Amino acid sequence: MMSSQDTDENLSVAVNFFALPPALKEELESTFPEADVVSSRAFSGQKLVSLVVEASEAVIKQLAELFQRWKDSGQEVKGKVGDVEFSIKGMSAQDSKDMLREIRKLLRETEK
Amino acid sequence: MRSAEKVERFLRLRFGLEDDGILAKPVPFRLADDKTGIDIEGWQTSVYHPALEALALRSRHHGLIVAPNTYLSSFAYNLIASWDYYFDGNEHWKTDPAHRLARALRLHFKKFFAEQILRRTHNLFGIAIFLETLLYEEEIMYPVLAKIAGAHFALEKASHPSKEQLQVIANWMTGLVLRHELGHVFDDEIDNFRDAVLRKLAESVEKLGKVWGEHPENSDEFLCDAFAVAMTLQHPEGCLSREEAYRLTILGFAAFAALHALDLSAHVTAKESPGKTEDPDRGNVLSSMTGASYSIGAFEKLQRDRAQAVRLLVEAMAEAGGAQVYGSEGRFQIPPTIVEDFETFLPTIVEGTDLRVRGKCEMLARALHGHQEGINYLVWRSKTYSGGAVETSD
Repeated sequence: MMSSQDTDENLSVAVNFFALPPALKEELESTFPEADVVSSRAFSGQKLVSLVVEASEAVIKQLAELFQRWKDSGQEVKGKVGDVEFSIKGMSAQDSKDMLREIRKLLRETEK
Repeated sequence: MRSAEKVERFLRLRFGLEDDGILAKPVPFRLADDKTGIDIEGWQTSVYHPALEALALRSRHHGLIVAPNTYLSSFAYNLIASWDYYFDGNEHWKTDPAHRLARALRLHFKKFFAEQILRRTHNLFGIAIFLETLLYEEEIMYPVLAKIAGAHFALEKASHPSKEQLQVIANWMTGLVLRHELGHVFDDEIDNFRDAVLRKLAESVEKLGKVWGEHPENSDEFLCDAFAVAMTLQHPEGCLSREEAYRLTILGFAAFAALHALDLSAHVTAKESPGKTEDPDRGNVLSSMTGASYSIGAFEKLQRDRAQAVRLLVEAMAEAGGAQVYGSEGRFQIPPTIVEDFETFLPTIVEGTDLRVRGKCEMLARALHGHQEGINYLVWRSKTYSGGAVETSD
């Protein structure tokens, strides 16, 4: 799930990861030092990590690069962007574009 | 902007709550106790949201946030209120789709299944079964809720649960979920939390060893369930007997496991039948509904074992205290097979509906397909029973 919102200072987006190895969570934190990286737990026991970050084209580019690196290393990462669920391991170039388009779409909707 | 408002905006963003969820105003809390050395600060709120995910969050910017989701506990409440009213001590409900308990359980399980499909995709099947529950099946709840629905529902001669009795069920379900979350918080913050819980449960917990041992990755879930059970039973509601409190606890976890299975089933169904495209057969009024396939799976092993572990724990506690969990006195009487019974019942929830009702709801679903805002309105409106001046004949 991902959503966006014009917070008090910034326009932010949230990308939720259903499966994210701990080492990649650290990478997420270091790539986005200003962002909020949120660990959470569902009643079912499912553990989730969310990235809440000020949204910009630069951030979207960073995300795309990060996902590509994870994909190249064969890491299994799953999450959801808007209505689009993604799995980085099996992500095609088109899937990747769809995901980033979803972020931009959401941002545009919020900016209106 | 004040901090509480920042936390609220953060949670709305995190949960995607713009238009499909309710969030209570976050309030700060501090839990400090010199004796145990506990000193925990954070925010507490409650969420009503159909996605059964995050409940205890740790944010780099906002710290600890405890946000139990009352969506889960409210469905458990409705299931158990129905169980309390309609369970008659025999097993006919398992085999007779027209049995009133079967009808009531089907209503809640099916409505939950439909809502879980519809939060993921706008598909004809999801709309149709949701309409079945809303338009034709919810009347089975009128006698159960007669006392809180007031003038809307005619009272019968037989007794109805009082507001207080219903509130006890709601409080119990919310308490189990909240205390489970607090268990995680304590487990993270207190070094000897695990030992303290195990020590408190003493012999009762020994019976759980085998079940827990099968889930080393999730032993914290079992621990927090045990904590929630112990804490909830330690604060009994005034009008509950010890036996009733035990049964309510077992029923609650059986319901949670069943609802989780339906959440996963809805995930599969929505994926296999996304249904977002235009209904290809709308022009053919005689064709049957396309995309009507669905999947209802078994309980996830972890959730089944959690429900069974709670049952074993409660049985052991009752035995130690000389109480009868499966006696025939008092409310919330249950068979020892309640977890298996719910699991066996789930695959039947889409069956057993009058075919005339099904046909009408299929037509309506087709008419409403593509009108997502209208469906969202109905889903939210359905949260309040409002049958008008309904005569119930129970």
